[in-house]
Amino acid sequence: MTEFVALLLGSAFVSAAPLIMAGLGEMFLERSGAGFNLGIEGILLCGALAGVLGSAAAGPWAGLVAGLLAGLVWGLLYAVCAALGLDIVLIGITISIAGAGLSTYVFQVIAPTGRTNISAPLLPTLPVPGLSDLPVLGAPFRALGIGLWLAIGLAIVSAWILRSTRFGLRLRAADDGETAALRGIAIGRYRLAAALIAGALAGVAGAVLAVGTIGSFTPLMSGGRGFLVLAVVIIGRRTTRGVVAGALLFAGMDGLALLAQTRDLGLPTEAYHALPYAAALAVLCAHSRWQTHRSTKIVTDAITNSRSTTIEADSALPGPQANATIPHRVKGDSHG
Amino acid sequence: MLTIRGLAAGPLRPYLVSTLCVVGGFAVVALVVAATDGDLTVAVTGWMHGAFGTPYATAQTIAYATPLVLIALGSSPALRAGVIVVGAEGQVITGAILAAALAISPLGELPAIVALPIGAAGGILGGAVWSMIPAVPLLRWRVNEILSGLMANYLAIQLLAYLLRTSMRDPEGHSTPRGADLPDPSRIPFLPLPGRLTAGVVVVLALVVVGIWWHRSRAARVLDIFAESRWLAGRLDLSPARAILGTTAVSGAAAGLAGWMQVAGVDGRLTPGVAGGIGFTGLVVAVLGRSRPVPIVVAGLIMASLTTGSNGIQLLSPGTPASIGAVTQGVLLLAVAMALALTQRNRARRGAADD
Repeated sequence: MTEFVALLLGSAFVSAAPLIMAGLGEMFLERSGAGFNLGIEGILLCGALAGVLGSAAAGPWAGLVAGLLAGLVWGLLYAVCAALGLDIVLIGITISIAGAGLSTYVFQVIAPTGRTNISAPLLPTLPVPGLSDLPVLGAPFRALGIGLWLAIGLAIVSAWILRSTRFGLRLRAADDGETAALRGIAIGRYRLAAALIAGALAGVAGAVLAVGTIGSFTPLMSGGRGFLVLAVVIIGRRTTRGVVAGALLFAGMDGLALLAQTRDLGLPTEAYHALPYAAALAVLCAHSRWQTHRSTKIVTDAITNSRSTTIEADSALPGPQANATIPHRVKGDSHG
Repeated sequence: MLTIRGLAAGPLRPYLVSTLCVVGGFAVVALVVAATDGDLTVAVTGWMHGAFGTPYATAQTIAYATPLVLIALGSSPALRAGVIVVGAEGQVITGAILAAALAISPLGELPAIVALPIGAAGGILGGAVWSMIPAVPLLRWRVNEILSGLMANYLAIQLLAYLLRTSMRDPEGHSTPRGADLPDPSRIPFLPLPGRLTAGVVVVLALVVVGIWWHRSRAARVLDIFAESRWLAGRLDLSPARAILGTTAVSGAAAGLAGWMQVAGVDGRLTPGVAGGIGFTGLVVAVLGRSRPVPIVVAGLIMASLTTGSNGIQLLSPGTPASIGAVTQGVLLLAVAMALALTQRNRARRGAADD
């Protein structure tokens, strides 16, 4: 049993790090009211490729920086498009397609089929003091990937930024576009910052995914993790603690799915893969249900005017068209 | 400030901006090709050759475009009503699962005149049922349909993986998971043309005609009104339940039908890659085609030609991988979206000046 737990923890720790990082970035984006990014998948892939190339050229740390830069570019693109007033769903799908295509294309140009794959040095690992001395259970703690350390560090910093700094406060205030604008907060600037943070963290997450344990890139290697990140942020209710807990939970499910391929765990392996999505769906419903119950008590006209989804909409923006009547769409732009 | 719906409905007037954006987009792709030591003229001729060079290539392009156009046509009523349907990927899968299950059951052995409609109905039902996963919570609790639709996609992917590993796995056994071959009566006949065009193309063409008629009908206009004001639509006897459930069911049915065409047409069996991104690309085609039938057909052919054309590029210049097609799709999508956003902004400014 302890052996099983050790195995499970080991694989969960590996898959948790990218989920936490990208989840934190997505949390910043959603908290600033700049919508949600459906393109994380594409950014992860570009970050992974950049990470492998950077790591092969100048060591694993350079790989992380390369991933970060790749992510920043996509984050900037998201911010610019959102500010121009493009629909966020469209931007997200575009980034998804273009990111996946570009990473595959560049990879195939650099390493055509038949040539050996690029292999990059891996990120170092660090033992957890204390826990690593446990008899059987200590094994996964003896070599904890630097990615997870980094992710936990980032989580602590993010929580502090969001809660206790002026920047964090204003970023959260930007979610309520109209009020923030009245208070003299440059919403556009904070949403740009949030989009850049989200892009950079997703890029680093991709790099960690590639140079954390594998050390090479394969086209489409992220395998839907970008969308799992959205589920993590949903289930974590857009809080730092929630994102970390949700990422660990989903990583655990991932580990169970892996173990279910070789031994009998009661449920088929696909069920463990599906559980995170089902859980996110349930949380979405429960959250919206609670919100509608609350809002219908206050405003009876809610059906016609405010559809309170998980992403709050700033419906009363002085838009040029009469699109205040489509309030559930999230606007990326506040001064159109 | 622009929504997918805004993109879908707005008339495209300032052609200059649009042309500039699209030319800019192709310039970016050309830059990518040039930066990776590809030959531009070879790439362009390769693309033309691969997409429309031979009758076979043209047929392939049309075959690729068929499911995209079908999915886009199906999602256009929902987009007009302001419901963003991103669940096509999962609905293609569930439609394909149900169609394949019916086809390998004794029902599939019936004469083709019975077996084909049964398979199609299975696809439609499978897609429509799955489309209710985002639709019902949207109606009842106003759950964001984009996020729930995405989650439903992944549930469908896992369901397909499970079924292909267990009960629907080909009993003859293969190293890769795949379903049993569909019996002949259940397979959509090929058209007597070069290439692998099935009779599914005819079905989709008929649906395009229906779409042209529907988009001029009163129902379509009422959906426009629904997107702007649910209260006003209520006065025109359109309840939110009918609007949301109805349009989503149509989108799901179309995606499921596309799933049936994949299983019973080109592939001939259920495979793990039955959807293979056509759900998302279909939504992109709907947006590029501004939810109107004829532009959707054009957009579908363009998107398909990027896939088939990039295979031609790889054939002529092996140094340029076929994945350049995906890059071009992404860049082109961005360029068109930018063009629409910019023109709408200009229009809005002019409108504000007139007031």
